[in-house]
Amino acid sequence: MSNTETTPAADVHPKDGTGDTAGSSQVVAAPNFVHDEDPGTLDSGAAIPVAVEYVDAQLNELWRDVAEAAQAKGGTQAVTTAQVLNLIVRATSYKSANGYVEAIERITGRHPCRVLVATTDPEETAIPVQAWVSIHCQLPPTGGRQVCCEQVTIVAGGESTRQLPAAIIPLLLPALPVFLWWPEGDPFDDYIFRNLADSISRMIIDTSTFENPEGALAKLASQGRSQWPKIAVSDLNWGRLTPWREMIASFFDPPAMRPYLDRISRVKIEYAQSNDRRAHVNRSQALLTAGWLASRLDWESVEDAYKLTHSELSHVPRAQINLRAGKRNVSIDLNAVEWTSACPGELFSVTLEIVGERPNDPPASVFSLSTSKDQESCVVSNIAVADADPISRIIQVRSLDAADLLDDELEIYSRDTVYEESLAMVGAFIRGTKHSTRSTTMSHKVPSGEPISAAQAQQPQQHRGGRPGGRPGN
Amino acid sequence: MVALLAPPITENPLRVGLRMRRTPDPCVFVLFGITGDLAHRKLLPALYNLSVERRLPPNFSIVGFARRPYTDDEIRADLKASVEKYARNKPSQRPGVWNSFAEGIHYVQSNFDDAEGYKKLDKLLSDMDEQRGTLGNRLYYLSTPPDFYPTIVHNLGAAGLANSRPISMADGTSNGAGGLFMPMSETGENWRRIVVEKPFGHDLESAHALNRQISEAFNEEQIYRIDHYLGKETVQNILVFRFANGIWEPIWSRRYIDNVQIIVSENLGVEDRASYYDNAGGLRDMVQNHMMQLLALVAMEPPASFDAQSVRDEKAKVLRAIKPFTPAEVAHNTIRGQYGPGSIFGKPVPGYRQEKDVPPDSETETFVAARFFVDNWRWSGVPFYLRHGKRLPKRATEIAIQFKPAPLALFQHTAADELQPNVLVLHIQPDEGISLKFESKLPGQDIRLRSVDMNFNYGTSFGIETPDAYERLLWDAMIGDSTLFTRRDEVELMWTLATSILEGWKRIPPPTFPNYRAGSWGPSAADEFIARDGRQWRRV
Repeated sequence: MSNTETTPAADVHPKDGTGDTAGSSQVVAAPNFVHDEDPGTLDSGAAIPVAVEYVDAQLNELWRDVAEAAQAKGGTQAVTTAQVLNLIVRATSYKSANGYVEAIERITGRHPCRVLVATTDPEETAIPVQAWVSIHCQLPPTGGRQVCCEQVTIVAGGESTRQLPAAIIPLLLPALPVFLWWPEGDPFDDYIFRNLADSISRMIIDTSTFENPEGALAKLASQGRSQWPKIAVSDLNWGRLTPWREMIASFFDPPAMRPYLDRISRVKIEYAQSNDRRAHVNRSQALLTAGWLASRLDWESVEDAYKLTHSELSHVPRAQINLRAGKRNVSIDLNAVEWTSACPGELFSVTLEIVGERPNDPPASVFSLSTSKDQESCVVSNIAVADADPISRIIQVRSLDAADLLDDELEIYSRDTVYEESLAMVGAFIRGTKHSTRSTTMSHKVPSGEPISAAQAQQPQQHRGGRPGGRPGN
Repeated sequence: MVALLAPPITENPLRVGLRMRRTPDPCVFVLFGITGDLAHRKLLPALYNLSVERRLPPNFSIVGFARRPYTDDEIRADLKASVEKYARNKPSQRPGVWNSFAEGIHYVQSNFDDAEGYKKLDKLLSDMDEQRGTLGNRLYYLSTPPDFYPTIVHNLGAAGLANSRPISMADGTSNGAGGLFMPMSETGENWRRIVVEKPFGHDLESAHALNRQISEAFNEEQIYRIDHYLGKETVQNILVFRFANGIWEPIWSRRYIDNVQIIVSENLGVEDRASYYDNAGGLRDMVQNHMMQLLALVAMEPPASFDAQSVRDEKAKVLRAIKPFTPAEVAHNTIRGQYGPGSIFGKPVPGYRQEKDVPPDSETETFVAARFFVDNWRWSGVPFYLRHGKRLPKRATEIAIQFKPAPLALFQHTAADELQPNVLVLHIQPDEGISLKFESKLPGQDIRLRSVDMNFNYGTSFGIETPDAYERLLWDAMIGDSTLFTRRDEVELMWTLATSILEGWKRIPPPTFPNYRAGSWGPSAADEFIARDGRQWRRV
């Protein structure tokens, strides 16, 4: 997003099988590679240029080469293809295309697929649509046989950019799901997206790359599903929250802890922010976390729920979200902390508090997760509930890169309703409209504002998925 | 009184949409034989991996119980070294993570038959419930020599450690702020479960006895008999392959299947297990448990649902449909063998009787071939051939389902014997996958046929390392899912069959051992055995 420079010698396929540190991948290509007229764009000799209409034929040739190469090495088994999906990737420069392809190659083993990279580059202002094909094979780290994946890079520029969708659609493998990975920015107004929309079943975006995440999230929440009902949208930035969601959920796995969920009244969420005043503020992770808690726990967004307060302490305004849970108020604070993170707005800590009996009492119970400052990739988890010894534990949280996140996303073929409901809630916060997840889905428990007494707790509670409308069970 | 009534528990709403259904309840993993090899190589590494990957509750705790003197710190240091060596996740990478895991490890030194030791254990567990909030939930794990199983189980029962208890005020009802009622688990009771390692008995009688002894302290629902074979991804995939695909069911019967061959071939010898193995032999070590389970999974009817009781009901029905052999039938339906000196991968290896700790006149079998019939409507008349041996040329576990040949040789110039029957092979290890052999035309003007293998290989289709069987099974036991554990009736049925073979072997003179060369495919008698049926072993 920020880097618009392209190295003149950037290659779409930088792999020559020698520089790979893992030693686990190689590109098999026909030896008859002929240089393109513009040697600056493709110089690895790895991919074969071919007219779009001959892509399938060329891939067949390549498969034969792969099989022959395997036999020459003394392999006894035929090389077989098992493809499970189509993956279209949108790249806006040769350089970024290389990065995406590298990420995809790392997960080929789990998701054998045909990859179609729809590439444009700011330098290319007048080229016809061209395709390069290659077969990428990955050797399992333990040795053994290789998993192969077909890659087709389709390049266009200037006028021909509008021809990209028509070049891609006939290359999709039949009867397999079509994923579109849109790694940067908001796709919804893009010509290429709009012309591929009918063919795709799932789109993967990344809200950490949005220039105006609040506006885009609100727009996505209000228009995404109504305009593109057949496309399931998912978000790599939501994927980055999965470990956090798991850790928060695990606080409440013991049935004994579940009643605490109905008494949370304050949530503090901290996210990383660079101290560079010019840097964009991206609260998407913090907002989605808030939206997730609110939608799962049936907190209702009220009018003008979302407030930004400027202070002298920081150039980033503090955001506060006011919600209702039955008679109880719930407030969620979103605060920036200075922290260097790999992705803008990375979550730093989440604290759930249950207030004491009187307004000025310290919190009666606290559940918190906070990024460890001295141990890399670790989170410190704390549970302090009334009358019990606090439990503290250090949890390892592997940082997830694009390949890890994509790997998870490609496993899900259906809609992620939890994401959609969280997003709808975020949209309601930002627009300042009343919203409750319960009205759109099902409710799961009694409204509660006051501490539950032992006697009340033994009343049968309304079961999750019970009556819509959610009256107290009796 | 009222406090004893557990309120209904709603699901954890924050779990919705997350891949992991839930983490297990807080519990203490009580490991008998924590100083042993299995604990160090497999169990602790599996538990640490589960913990690091956030699949265990934060207050998950371990108590080791064994005879050697150790302090808590010493056992932690010892286990750390093993986890460092055998686990994917290394303590040295994140010392803080290991430390917070190790804080929950404690040690009780005691003889297994010392009642005082169990009192100490009880006291320690109660203290841990209080300090770490483990809520009285226990998973006992027997990783000791099997002779100690009855003693340990008896003592656990006598010390009152085996019974789950309804939640009482004393057990952990908390009156925190707001007078919150705290139920302990989904059922309102804490749980006690016991995992029993193999070997589960030595024959039918001892298996019966062991089941009886364990059942004096534990109910069947509390008992998890572990067979690590069932934790393997590809073994579980047998059920997915059969019951998630519609095309196999109509041909999965005597109508289309000629025979089924299950082979577990090992190129290793007895290694350092001779003292155990020489008393057990291949029938007890491999056929009675793992191979009979594979047979049951291939032959079973579709279960009513994929829960523990339904799946195991169907497996037990298959085992019940196999008639135990009379002594006379044993000679006809089984072959045993023992390897002599030979060579593996071009290197000379000693014979079984020359191995360390093996008596020079040992009559123990290292090779078994057997033929079983499943007498039910689906399988009547279809032989299931089982073949297992040590020091065979290569390591392979597979199930080959051989279909009946095409009824007529239609193509000219093709002799009937050139027509190969279709074979569907489920490869369990080392290369997990599924292959189907069918006939195809060789390119050219003539019609000439050639068998080709259509091969689906997990390694090449999904290039991932499959998770460790122990991680899967330990987690299942903590969550209370016994689908992949062996039920009492299954164990006893499997022993009924194995014992009928052992009885038969006692009455007929053993073949002259050794009767096969290390590095060969077993005694020639095994080839003659299957040739009598007009069939041959599939080359692996």
